[in-house]
Amino acid sequence: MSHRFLASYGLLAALLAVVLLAVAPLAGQAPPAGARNTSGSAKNWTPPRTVDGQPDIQGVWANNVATPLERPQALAGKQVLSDAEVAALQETARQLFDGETDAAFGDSVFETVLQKAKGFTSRDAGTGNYNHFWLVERNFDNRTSLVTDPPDGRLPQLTPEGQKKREAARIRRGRPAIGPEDRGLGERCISFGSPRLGAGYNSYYHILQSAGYVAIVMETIHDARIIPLDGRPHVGKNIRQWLGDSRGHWEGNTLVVDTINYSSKSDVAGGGENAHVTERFTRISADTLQYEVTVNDPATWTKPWTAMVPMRRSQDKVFEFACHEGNAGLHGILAGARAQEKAAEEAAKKSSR
Amino acid sequence: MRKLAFVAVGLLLAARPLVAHHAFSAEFDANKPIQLTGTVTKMEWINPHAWIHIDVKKPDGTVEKWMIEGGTPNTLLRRGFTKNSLTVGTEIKVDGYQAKDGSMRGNGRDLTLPDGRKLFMGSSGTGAPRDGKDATEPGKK
Repeated sequence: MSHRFLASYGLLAALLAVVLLAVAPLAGQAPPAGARNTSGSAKNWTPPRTVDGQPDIQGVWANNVATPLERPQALAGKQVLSDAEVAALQETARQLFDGETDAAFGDSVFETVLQKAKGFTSRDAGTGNYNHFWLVERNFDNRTSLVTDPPDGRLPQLTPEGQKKREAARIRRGRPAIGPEDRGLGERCISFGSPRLGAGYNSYYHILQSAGYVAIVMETIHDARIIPLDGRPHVGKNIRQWLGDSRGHWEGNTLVVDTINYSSKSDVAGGGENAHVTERFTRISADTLQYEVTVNDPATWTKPWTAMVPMRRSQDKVFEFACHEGNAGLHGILAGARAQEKAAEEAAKKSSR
Repeated sequence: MRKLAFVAVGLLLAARPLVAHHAFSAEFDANKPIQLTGTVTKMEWINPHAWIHIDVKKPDGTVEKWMIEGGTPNTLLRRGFTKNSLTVGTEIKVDGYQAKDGSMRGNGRDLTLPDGRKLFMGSSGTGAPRDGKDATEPGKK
């Protein structure tokens, strides 16, 4: 139906981009908990080299995987899905997300498919948002959580400090915004944070390499990380940055990036300013970049945790996000909160008369 | 019930990776559903959210200018949908909710053409148009 509509506007054929390449299922590539690069593909496949002799990980990589961050309780103890189970999930997704449902973000795609819950409705408190056509198609693989360590696929317990911080954030976001600072960094077009594990929403990364640097351009809010590879020390502890201070080096075919010095306002995958993040980028096939991240933040979690995302090579470009320029939504949120306050004041005046 | 749901969402959001731009429930009023029919005057193809401008003719002949908020345009662009895909003068029906501040802005939960076809709709799997490139598409061999 809509394909006819699209075609009727005569633009589909020329501009249709392949969002996800049909690549082989990732069956068998899930590393055991805490393991490094153990995939069979990695052993048998040698990445091309850049002119400087580095393993070539350049290109646009997409994270549109449906796998949830944490293993759902319903799949407790089940680390790997069979190919038949993956195919069944993908088919259920095809049936459930026909474009007419509310947009399903993040883990809600996997959860809805797992429950075979028909007619997905946004949890966006009554208003919904827009329909699912606005979101990219998600790909299922044989894993049940991005978290590989702890082995149960769940994030470690929060520390009391971590709980307190999360509760404060919940209160800030739940109340009518007093000012922009009550809203998240993404809503304010400041940053979607790094490391970012969120899939399916402009989750594209353009990696560029030169002899001394690796640059990672994130589509969201056109953040760019420029990572020196020359072994220089980190900047001083007093220099805190939104995306932290990163240093990279190669271990075989794996680019290892250490990041510290986040700001107290940074979003570090849910962690805070003193997090130490270690990322490992390994191209395990022409079209797959294994992205593994370990977050060590004793202030937030009782122990470190590791997650792995198999990013897929995309033929698409990364588009400039130009978020702040068009961010009418934040204005709407604040104007709405002020209108609500005014209405409450007037109601109070009336009742006191 | 809605309050309960909202609290639950807050908890979930805080614990999960950032995956959307902003909560529409903070901007739009669940108690102000809107149903509008208007003609497109402009398509703002901008991040973080696309805006479709429509003129809505009232029964008394006056015209209201409404702005309807959609999602990120990047995804639609990747689907082959551009700002020229929704041309000025197209009549659309909008089902959504009005902004909390009472301005003539709403979210476009459902956008429909006069013949009943959904505007941003129709897919195999989780969204791609039926172009033969989606391996999960029905009938695809």
